[in-house]
Amino acid sequence: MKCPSFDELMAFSDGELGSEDAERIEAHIGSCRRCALLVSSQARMEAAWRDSYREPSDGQFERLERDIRSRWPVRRRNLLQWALPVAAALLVAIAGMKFLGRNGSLVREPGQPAAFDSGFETERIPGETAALIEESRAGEETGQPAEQEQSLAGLPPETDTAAMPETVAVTGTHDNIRSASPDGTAGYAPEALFSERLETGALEAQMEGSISTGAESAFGESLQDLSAGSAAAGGGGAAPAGGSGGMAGGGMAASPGFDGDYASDACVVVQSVREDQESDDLTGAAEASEPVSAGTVEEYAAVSQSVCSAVDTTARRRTEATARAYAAGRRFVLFFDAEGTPSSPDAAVLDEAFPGWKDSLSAVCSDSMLVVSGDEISEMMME
Amino acid sequence: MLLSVLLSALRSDDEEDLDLVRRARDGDRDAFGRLVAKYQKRVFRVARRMCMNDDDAWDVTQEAFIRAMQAMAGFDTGYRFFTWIYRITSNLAINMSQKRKRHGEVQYDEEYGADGLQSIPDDLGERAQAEELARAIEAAVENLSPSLRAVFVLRIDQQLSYSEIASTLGIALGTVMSRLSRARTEVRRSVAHLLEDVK
Repeated sequence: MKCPSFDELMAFSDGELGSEDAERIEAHIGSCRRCALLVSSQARMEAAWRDSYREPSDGQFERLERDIRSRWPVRRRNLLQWALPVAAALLVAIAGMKFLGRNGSLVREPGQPAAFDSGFETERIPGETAALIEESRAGEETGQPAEQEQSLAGLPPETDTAAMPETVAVTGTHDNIRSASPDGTAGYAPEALFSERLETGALEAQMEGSISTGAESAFGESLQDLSAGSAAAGGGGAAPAGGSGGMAGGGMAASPGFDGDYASDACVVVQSVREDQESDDLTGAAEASEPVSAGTVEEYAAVSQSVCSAVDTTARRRTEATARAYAAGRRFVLFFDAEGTPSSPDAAVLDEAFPGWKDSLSAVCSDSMLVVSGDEISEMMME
Repeated sequence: MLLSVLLSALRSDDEEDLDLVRRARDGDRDAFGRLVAKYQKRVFRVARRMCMNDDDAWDVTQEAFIRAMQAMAGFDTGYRFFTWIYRITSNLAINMSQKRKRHGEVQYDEEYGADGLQSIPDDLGERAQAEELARAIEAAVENLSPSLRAVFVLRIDQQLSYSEIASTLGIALGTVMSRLSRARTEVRRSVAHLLEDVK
C-alpha cells in the first residue's frame, strides 16, 4: 500500500479529514512504522514548541488592561446629547441679549421710565410727568396701547374710525399750541401739536401727505424732503412756503447720541402740504421766517433751514429732558482716554442728558473706567 | 455526549462575547474591559509567537485592542469576537514582522523557551533535548515568512482549525493548507538533525 503524503498525514493529525479518510490513514499508520514515526515526531516537535511558551506575569496583563481601558474614547454621541442643547441654549441667550441690547427698554431698572423709546412718555412735564408715566404703564399692563403711543405710531387704525377724537379741534394755530403746553413754553409746543394733530380727524382733512418711519434723524430727512419740494420737519414745526405750508410732526427726533444704541426709537415724520397755512399759525419759533414765494428749490431750502432751526431748538430741549429721564436710575460705563476724553457709547447719552457733564471729570478720570449712575451725574451737575 | 457539551460551551462562550460586544458598542467600557481581560493573554501569545520578542508583542496586543475599540461600532456580530481580534492581531504582527525584516531589526529573545516545558518527561536528558528542540523550532519559525508564520502559529500554537485560520486571516481554505504544509516542511527541515533524537 502506498504511503499517504505528508500533507495527508498532517491533516489526519490535525483532525481535518473526513471520517472515511481518517479511518484509511489510521489503518495505514497502524501498519506502517515510518509514517507512524513521522506523525509521532511531528506531534512531539510541535508540542515542544507549543509548551515552550512562557506567559508573562498577571501584573503585566493587568497593566496592559489598565492602559487599554484608559484609551476608551469619550463617545461622540454622548457628547452631542448634551452639547447640542447647551449650544442651542447659548445661541438663544446670545440672541436674546442682542435683542435686549438693541431695544434697551426691555430691561428696565427700578424707576426707569418704561418708554424712553417713544420719547413722549418719559418727557418731564412739570406737574404731569408722574401722571403721564403712570398712564402709559397702565396702558401697557392692560394690553391697551397708550394713547400717546398710538399717536406715535401715526394714526389710529384705519378701520377704527371711532378711535378718532371728534371734538379735538387743533388747527395748528399758535394759541392752540400754547394752550396745549402747561407752562406755555415753545419747547413743548411742537410735540403737543404733533401729538394732537395725529389724533385729530379735522387735521386729516387739511393734510395731504404720507407718513414715513425711520430710525434716522428726522431733521436730515426734513431737509432733504424740503429741498425736494415737499414740506417736512421733525419734532413738529411749520413753515410758510408761499402759500404752500409745510408741517410735520416727529414722534421723536432721534438724537445722534442715541442713534446707535437705541435705534429702536422710531421716528415718525408726517409730511404734509398745506396750501393756505400762514407761517406763524403753527409755531412761535417760526415767526422769524420770512414769507417765501413758491417755486424754487432754493426757496424751499431757505425755508427748511429756518424751520429746522426752530425745530432743533425745541427738540433739543425736549431731548435733553427725555435723556435725563432716561438717565435717571440707569448706570453708565464710561471709558476715559489719556486726555480724559470719554469714549464709550454711554458718554453720548450723558452728553444729551447733562451737557458739560464731563468737564469736571476729565481732569481726574484720564486712562480709567468709571461706572456711574445718572442720578450721581445729576447731583454732580447740581453741585 | 462530550461533543454536545463542548458545542454547548462554545455557543455559550460566543453568546457571552456577543453580549459583551453589544454592550461595548453602546458605550459600556466595562463590557469592553471584560473582553480585554478574557482575550488579552491569548492575543499576546499570538503576537509573541509572530513577533518573536516581548516588546513588539506588547505593542501589538495593545494596538490590537485599541483598534478593536475604535472599530467596535462597525463590528459585524455575524463574526466571532475572538476571530476578529485574532485577525487584527495577526495583521498587526505580520506588518510588524515585515517592517522588522525590511530594516534588519529582527530581535529574537534567545532565552525564550528555556522555561515552561510542561509536557516533556521528567528525565533531564529528555528535557534538555526538548528545550534544545524548542529553541531550534523557534529559530526556524523566525525564518518563516510572516504569512507562513501566521498560519503556523495559528495552527500549531493556537490549534485553530483550518477554517478558523482561513476566516481569521481572510484567506482561502486551500491557501491555509498549502501554507501550513510549506511552513511545517521548512521547520522540520530546519530541525531535522534533532528529530532523530526525539523518541
